[in-house]
Amino acid sequence: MPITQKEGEEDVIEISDLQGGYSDCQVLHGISLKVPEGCITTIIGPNGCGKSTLLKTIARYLPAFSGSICCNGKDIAQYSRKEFARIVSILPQWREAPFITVERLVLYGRFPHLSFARKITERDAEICRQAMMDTGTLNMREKDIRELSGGERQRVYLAMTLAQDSEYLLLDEPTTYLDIAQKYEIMELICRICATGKSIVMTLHDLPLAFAYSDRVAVMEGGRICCCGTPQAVLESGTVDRVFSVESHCVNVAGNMEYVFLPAYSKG
Amino acid sequence: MSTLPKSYIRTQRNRLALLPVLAGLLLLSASAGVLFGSTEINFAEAIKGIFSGELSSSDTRILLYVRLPRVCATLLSGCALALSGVMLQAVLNNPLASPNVIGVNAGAGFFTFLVISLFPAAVTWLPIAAFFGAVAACMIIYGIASRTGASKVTLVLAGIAISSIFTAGINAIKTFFPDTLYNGSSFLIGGFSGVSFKNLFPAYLFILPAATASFFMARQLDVLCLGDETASGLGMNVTAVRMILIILACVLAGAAVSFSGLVSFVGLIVPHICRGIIGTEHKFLLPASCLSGGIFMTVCDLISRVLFAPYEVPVGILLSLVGGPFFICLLLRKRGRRT
Repeated sequence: MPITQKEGEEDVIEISDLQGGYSDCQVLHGISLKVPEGCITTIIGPNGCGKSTLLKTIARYLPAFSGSICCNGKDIAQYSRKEFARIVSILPQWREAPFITVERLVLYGRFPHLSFARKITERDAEICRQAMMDTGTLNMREKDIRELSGGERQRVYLAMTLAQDSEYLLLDEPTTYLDIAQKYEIMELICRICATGKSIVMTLHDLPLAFAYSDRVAVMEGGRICCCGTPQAVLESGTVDRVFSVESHCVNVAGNMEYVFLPAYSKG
Repeated sequence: MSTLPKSYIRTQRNRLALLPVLAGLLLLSASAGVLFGSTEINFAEAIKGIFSGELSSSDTRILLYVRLPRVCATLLSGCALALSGVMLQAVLNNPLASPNVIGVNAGAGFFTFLVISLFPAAVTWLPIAAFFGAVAACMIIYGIASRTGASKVTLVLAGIAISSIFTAGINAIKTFFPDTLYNGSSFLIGGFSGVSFKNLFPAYLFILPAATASFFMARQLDVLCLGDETASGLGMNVTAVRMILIILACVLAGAAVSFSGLVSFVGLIVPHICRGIIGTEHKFLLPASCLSGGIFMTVCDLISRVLFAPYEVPVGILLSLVGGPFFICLLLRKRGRRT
């Protein structure tokens, strides 16, 4: 497994030989993965390969059968729920859209930080305001969640995840159901969030987006990680072509390198 | 400068102001419930009788042994069923959930019937029996929910099935032990005639602590409504919170059913109306539903007593007659707004 480490980076989430899944079916068959600090790590793979399951297991939503996940050098099972929620936040793919205002939703991000009295302080409000500013949702804060478009809603949920003020963000398919402009908008936003020093692990369906915006790409197939490294290294290894049955090309478009994936049978 | 936005503070204040209003209405409806009834009583005489220790006059007796326990019962069951409805709707993540829709009422009713027909003397144990019935129904629902992925439609369908099973059980008992419950059919419709402090007291012991505890779960309920994954990501122990809430809801519904029978609809409509008025934040929704449930039940019971006096319409009939159309209006209005 070619892992090229950038200078001065530290691995902060370390997964070793992880087996996991649902009670009646094992999905993850020995995952080992290191997530470096301050980077965007993207997990790609065909449908049903276990990307979301892996993310949910890292988020402690699903239990690990065996193996370990360490976060900042400590096994995640040893954190209390609240402690863990202050370090790692997750943006699930499937969510309820409750009948509440944007502001209210973002305030829920402070839940793991609230004391027993659960009173929202000025500091909590300030952090939420900042999160809404960063995601460009401040102007819609009195709107109802259900009135928003898909892209706006995604930004609002990102704001909630940001308000959680954790070092790590796990994003499960942050671009599903978005149109192309909204997709780019969300990816740019994720990059800006990463630039503030947060580490991001996400799953993506969209290969060009994954390769354009990630520092690290991990390819999953059948519950295993078959390749992991910089986008360039992963592409050169040919794993993507094999796993997705595509042909990848690097094309120069107006001075930028863009990734294009064509069906493998296109040449006949 | 305060960073809490003005709009937030404003809505919080408005909502908070609504609670004393509801509390006032509750007092008003309770006193109306005590003052009026199928027979007119001389209230001054009755009060005088109580204070002088002279309990033989019929006015005093009506006040003390009929009106007061009755109003206490309607308040108690209204509050309990509404609270139970709020919590079940959040736990099952389903706006259609309520103690009677998902079969909790029928379960409680079945166990109550069972105990009362086997051990007619065990009045004190009725709330406990009702509680176990409610828990049994809830566990079946919860089991089905966790197995099938808790789709909203499945839950309601499962509830209907469970409800009909327990109702069949009740009818079976009624057929095989026809003499055990002189008011068997009124138990099925739900009503408060013949309620006394003696059979209210054990229910109070269950409902008061459970209601108090439920107010402490407001924030958890809010977060639970965001969906399991989000709630878990925010550091909440979803399974444990859900269990606690289900138990609280069962205690409330079970204890209420034990003395009021299968009162329908309150647990479904009251939370809905309150949500429309006060919003989905449980810090306000719980107390508002609790108060409104009490008001609604007391007023309906009062109407049922005076409407065709001296005959009494069972309050269950009235609740369904008032509640059903009201709920339909609510649905139509909601639909109109969205399209």
